[in-house]
Formats: sequence, C-alpha cells, structure tokens
Amino acid sequence: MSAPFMAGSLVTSTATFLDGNGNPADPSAVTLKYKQGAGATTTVTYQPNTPTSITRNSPGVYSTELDTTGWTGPDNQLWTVQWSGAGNVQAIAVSNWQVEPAAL
Amino acid sequence: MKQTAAKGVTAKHAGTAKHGQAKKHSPAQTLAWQKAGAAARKAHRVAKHPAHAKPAALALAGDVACCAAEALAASLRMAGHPVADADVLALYLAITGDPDAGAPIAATLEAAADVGLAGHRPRYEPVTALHTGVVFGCTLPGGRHAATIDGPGVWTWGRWQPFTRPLLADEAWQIEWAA
Repeated sequence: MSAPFMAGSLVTSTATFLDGNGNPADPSAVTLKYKQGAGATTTVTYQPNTPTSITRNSPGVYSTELDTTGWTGPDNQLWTVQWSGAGNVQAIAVSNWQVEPAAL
Repeated sequence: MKQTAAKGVTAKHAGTAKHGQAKKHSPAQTLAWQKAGAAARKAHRVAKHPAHAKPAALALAGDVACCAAEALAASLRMAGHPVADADVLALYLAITGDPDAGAPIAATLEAAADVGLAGHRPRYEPVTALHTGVVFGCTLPGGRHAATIDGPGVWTWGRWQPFTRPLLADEAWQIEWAA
C-alpha cells in the first residue's frame, strides 16, 4: 500500500494531455484545482508568459508542486487534485492522496 | 507522477451493478472506453479478447475493481510473458480483499514488487511522457481508471482500444519486468 506523504513534502503533480489520436497536445486552457481536507478549493490557471505555479514541461505536459507543510494531524489529511483542459483538448482527471503529520 | 494514494482513497470504479449484462456487444461500445467507463466495462464483460479470455468464475472486469492489476498484466504481456486471470486476481487480493475498493497504480506496483505478478517483479518509475508500455492513470465518468498504452491505443480490462477522444493522464509509470 502506498504510504502517505509526510507534511512538509513538496508533492509534484503532473498532467499529460493527449489528443484524440493519442499524441501529446496542449489544451487551449489548463486549470488546476486542489483542496486540502475540507478546506477551500484553490484554482490555478496556466497562462503562457505569466508566472504561475503551473509549469509547462513540454507539449501537453504540465506540472506543479504542492506544498504540504503545516498539517499537524492527528489524522491524515486528504488532498484532492483536479486537472482539466479545455478547448483544443478537453479532458479532466481527479486524484487523491494523503498527508500524514510530520514525526516531530 | 509522484503522487500516490493510499488504499481506499481512490474512487471506486464504475459500475456497481454486478454480474453480467445480457445486452449484446456493439462496436460502438467497445470503441467508447473513454466516453463512459461504466458502459465500456459492461461491453468488456461480454466481449473478451480471445487471447485473454477470462473464466466466468473470476469475471475480473465485471466484478473486481482491479484495473490497475489488469494494466500491469497488460504491461507484462507486452513484455512477452503470459499472465493468467488468476495471477491478476492474486495481485489485487494482495492489496485488498474488497472487490469494490479498487487499488491505486502505485499500490499495485508496490504489491507486484513484493509478491510478484505471474512470477515476475517490476522495476518502475514515474514518467510524464506517454508511450507504448507506459501504465497510466486517468479519470473516467465512473471514477479512477488505469490502462496501458500500446501504439495508437490502450489495453484496458484485457482489451485493446484505439484512442478515440482526448485524454488527461495524471500519473504514468514506466515498468521493466524481471523474473
């Protein structure tokens, strides 16, 4: 079973978009939404030539680093991450993972 | 992707209705795995690839949410090694005994490294480039899903399906198999 990330870890989340032929392709717009536990949803939109937390690694491939610092428990914290593309490549993916409190 | 999810966190797979649908297979369904996960799974249950026919007693695609184990099996088959349905089920059961729980790809890879799959163990690493042999995770209307890329299509639930629609993979793994 996969272990949770320890609070304080930077978690890299990557989205790879493929067009209808299976080739990497850039959507017209890329949006990342994430939520820590029952907290508010944060929305980040990729904007070319504008600094955001989303990086375009290559055509169709985008990534971000999510900072898990601050979770003190006692239980694990559930993160929900949603990537979506619109326009040229319309697709969406949602995943979850957990953060455990740091040891000390 | 470096993300991992603990057992039970991943959304349950599509299709809570178990045990066979009487509807006949139609080509439209088999080409629509990305259009509707539940519908695609239903189609898979009644039209298996001859080379990977599944005993009805196991009915993996219909009754057990073991798509990640199936994806690893596809990867191993692509490497030239036979994998039986019982091997797939054994791998899934090494992670959870709940047929509906589902298992993340990362957890399935860890289990395969621990207990093996058909006598082989994977070495794996997260990647971002999707190419033949890569096992990836995505979200279908019914929930999380795992499949294996093979040329202009994917192996999903033991069947090869061509790409027909855009896809967003939020995890991908390169796998090498060793005895």
